[in-house]
Amino acid sequence: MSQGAIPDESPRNLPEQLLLQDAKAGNCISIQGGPDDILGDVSRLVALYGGNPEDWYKITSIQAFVINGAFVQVHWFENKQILQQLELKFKRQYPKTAPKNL
Amino acid sequence: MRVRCIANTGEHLPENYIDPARGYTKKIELPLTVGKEYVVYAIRSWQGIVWYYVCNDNYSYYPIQTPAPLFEVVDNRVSKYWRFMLNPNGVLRFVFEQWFNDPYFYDKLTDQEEAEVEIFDRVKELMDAEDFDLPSLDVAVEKLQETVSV
Repeated sequence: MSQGAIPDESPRNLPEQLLLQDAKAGNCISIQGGPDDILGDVSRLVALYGGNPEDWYKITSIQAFVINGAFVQVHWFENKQILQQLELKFKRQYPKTAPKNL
Repeated sequence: MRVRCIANTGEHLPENYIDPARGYTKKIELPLTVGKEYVVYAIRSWQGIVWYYVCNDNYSYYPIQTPAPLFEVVDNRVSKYWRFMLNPNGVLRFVFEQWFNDPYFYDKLTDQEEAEVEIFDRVKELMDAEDFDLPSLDVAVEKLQETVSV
C-alpha cells in the first residue's frame, strides 16, 4: 500500500476525458470499501483526508472504453460523508500477446 | 459455481441492495447480458446481502462484486479452489487461496499490480475450466461401501 497522497491522473486524450465525464456524472460503482469490505489503503486515506474507515470506497467507471488498443477504466477513492473524490487513475489493460507458435 | 444473469438494472434489485454510496441506485445499468452465464470467482455476504465476484462484460483484469439477486444459480457446485473465511464482524467470504492468504490481494489486484493480475489470470483459467464431473454423492457412497465390504 502507498504512503503519501497520490495526485489525480489526467486523461491523455478525448475518449479518456469522455469516460471520466461519464463516470463522474454517476455512471460508476464501487469495487471495494464500506463497512463490510474495508479498503487496504483506508488508514492512509483517513490520515490524509479524514473521514471514517467504513465510509471510504474504491470506485470504477461502469463503462470501459477501448482506446489505442487498451481496455480503459477510471478508478478513484471516494468518501460520500466528506464529499471527496480523490486519487483518480486510468487503468489501461492491454490484451495479452498471443504465443508465437500458434 | 456458475450463475446466469436474469436482470442487469437497479430496478430489479431488492431494496436492501439499493446503496447510493456504492453506486447502486434504481437507475443503474450494469454491463451484464441477460441470459448469459458467468463463473463466480468469489462470494461475499454480510447482513443478508450477497455479492458474486464475476467478470462482467467489461472485464479487463479483475472480477467485480455484483449483487446476487441479478442472477440465478445454474451450477451450485463450489470451486475446489475456494477457502472459507468468517471475519469477526460477520462478513462471510469464499475466495481462492491467494486472496485468502493475503488480506491486500484484492486491493492490489484492482490496483493492477502485475503479480496479482498474473495470479488472477491463472486462477480464472483454472476456475473457468474446472472439472465438475465427479460422481454424485450416492454413487461415491456406494463405491466406498463396496471398498469397505471387500
